[in-house]
Amino acid sequence: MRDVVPFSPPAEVDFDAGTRPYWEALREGALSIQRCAHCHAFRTPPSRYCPHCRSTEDEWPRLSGRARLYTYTIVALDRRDAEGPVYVAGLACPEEAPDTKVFCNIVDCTLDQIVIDMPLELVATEAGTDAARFRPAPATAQGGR
Amino acid sequence: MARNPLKDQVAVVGVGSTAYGRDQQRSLLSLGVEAALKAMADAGIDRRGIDGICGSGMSPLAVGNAGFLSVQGALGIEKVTWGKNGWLGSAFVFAVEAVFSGLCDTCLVVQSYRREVNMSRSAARDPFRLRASRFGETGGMGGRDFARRWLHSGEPYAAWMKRYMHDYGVGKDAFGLMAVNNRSHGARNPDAVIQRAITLDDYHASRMVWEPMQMLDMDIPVDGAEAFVITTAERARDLRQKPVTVHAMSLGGTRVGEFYENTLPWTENAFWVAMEGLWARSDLTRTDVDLFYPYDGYTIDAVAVVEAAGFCKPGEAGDYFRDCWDRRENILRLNGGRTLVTTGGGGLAHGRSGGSNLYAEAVRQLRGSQGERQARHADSALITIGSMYHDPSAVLLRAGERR
Ligand SMILES: [Zn+2]
Repeated sequence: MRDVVPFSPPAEVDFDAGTRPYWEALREGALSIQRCAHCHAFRTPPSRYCPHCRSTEDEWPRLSGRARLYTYTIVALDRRDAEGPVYVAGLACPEEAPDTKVFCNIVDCTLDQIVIDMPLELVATEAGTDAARFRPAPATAQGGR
Repeated sequence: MARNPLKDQVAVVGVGSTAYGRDQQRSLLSLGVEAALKAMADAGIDRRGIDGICGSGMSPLAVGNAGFLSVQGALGIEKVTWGKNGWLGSAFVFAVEAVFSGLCDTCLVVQSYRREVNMSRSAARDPFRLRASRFGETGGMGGRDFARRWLHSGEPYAAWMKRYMHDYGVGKDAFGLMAVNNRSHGARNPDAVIQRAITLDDYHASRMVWEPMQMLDMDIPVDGAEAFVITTAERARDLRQKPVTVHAMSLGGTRVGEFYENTLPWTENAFWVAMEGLWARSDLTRTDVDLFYPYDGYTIDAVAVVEAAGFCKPGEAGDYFRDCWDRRENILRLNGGRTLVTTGGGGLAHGRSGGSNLYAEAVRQLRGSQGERQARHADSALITIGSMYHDPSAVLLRAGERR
């Protein structure tokens, strides 16, 4: 079976002010997404105005890192090599914000383990990571969901 | 019903197309100017007869790209009373709005597209394209902040294919049959860049790109341009071509806009919004559509349009296409056999032009001027261009003058 590898890190990540807390949390091994400080609705991707109440005040709580896989795509590192390594890009719905979707990279698994709606957990990554990385969560971590 | 005061008040009176090719070694502007001159000649209108212009381009910096300013300058159109940039299906809609509202009387729409560096391996090696691309990154996908962005615009569409297949418990036949249909039409179109028909087996055997999306799910990047002349239905009476009348239009939009990870449920995506807006303004219904042009940048766009337009229920396009399949010609025939889909081959066979070739093909079919390729029933055409995520247009055109 084809190897599942992480995204290759980019030479540099273009921070902008709006996404810095997301990157900083990832570097500390945590998932953080934007929440409105006024009406407390989570939203992704980061934006200036809350679409529910238009507040510009936001907060970036650290989440559990548990999530559900909404959907994904499998991409070969080299399209001409049908047996070679692939990366998996997807959308994860965090446990605390199930209606939002976080762009992510699925790692630490084999391709046949990946199914839509599977439970995920955040993987702590080294500095310079390029997206939230998740792996399949053990069945016991599914809780009551 | 929603208000639709522009119903049958505006007409397409000229259409012009360049050849399509993988490497024409020409600028966007050169392609656009050629198409514009052909459309004006087709309409029998010279540059002094144009008082509005809508050019393609995602860049607000129109000069240097084929935006309206550079097209206007190159054509030597001294004065216009209205000008705007647009892309995908919206440029056409903007021009009709402008003519109907009186901001101009006769409007030129010009759309140029080029095989960009991110579209193919050989394009990426081309130093000219590489240089040109550095000056074009003022909009759309491509920011390097991955907190917001997929690596390529194809990935979110591939991921949506995966979710669609999961939610409805279906395989990829809907996508595959759409690809086969468009390639069959392309094989009959001497202007198509790809003229080889395919089978469903060919589709399934094609190279995987972003699983589950395959090579044959994607349009063919080319260099090419289309242009149209649009004026009032009243003025069209005195012009040389049989007019093609705009019956109803809609532009769809949802809050999630361009943010491709903010995926809405399938039946809430932007195509559903556009189609609801169109049917609320149209005297015609789905069963009155003779010719249907669902945007095929990716096959999942076309399948979404089919379902959003109400041809079948959500998730049922695969079964529906099998029921509608013409085995002899290897094409779709909807509405009990009458309705052809994407004559000309669209982006998957004729070439990628942001859907502008769908408008051009529809206009020529409604004129009855397509010769051997002419559809038997060609009184109305539904053209829906855009993305599941952002700015889809839905336009219903009718043959001749409607009074
Ligand atoms: Zn709020």
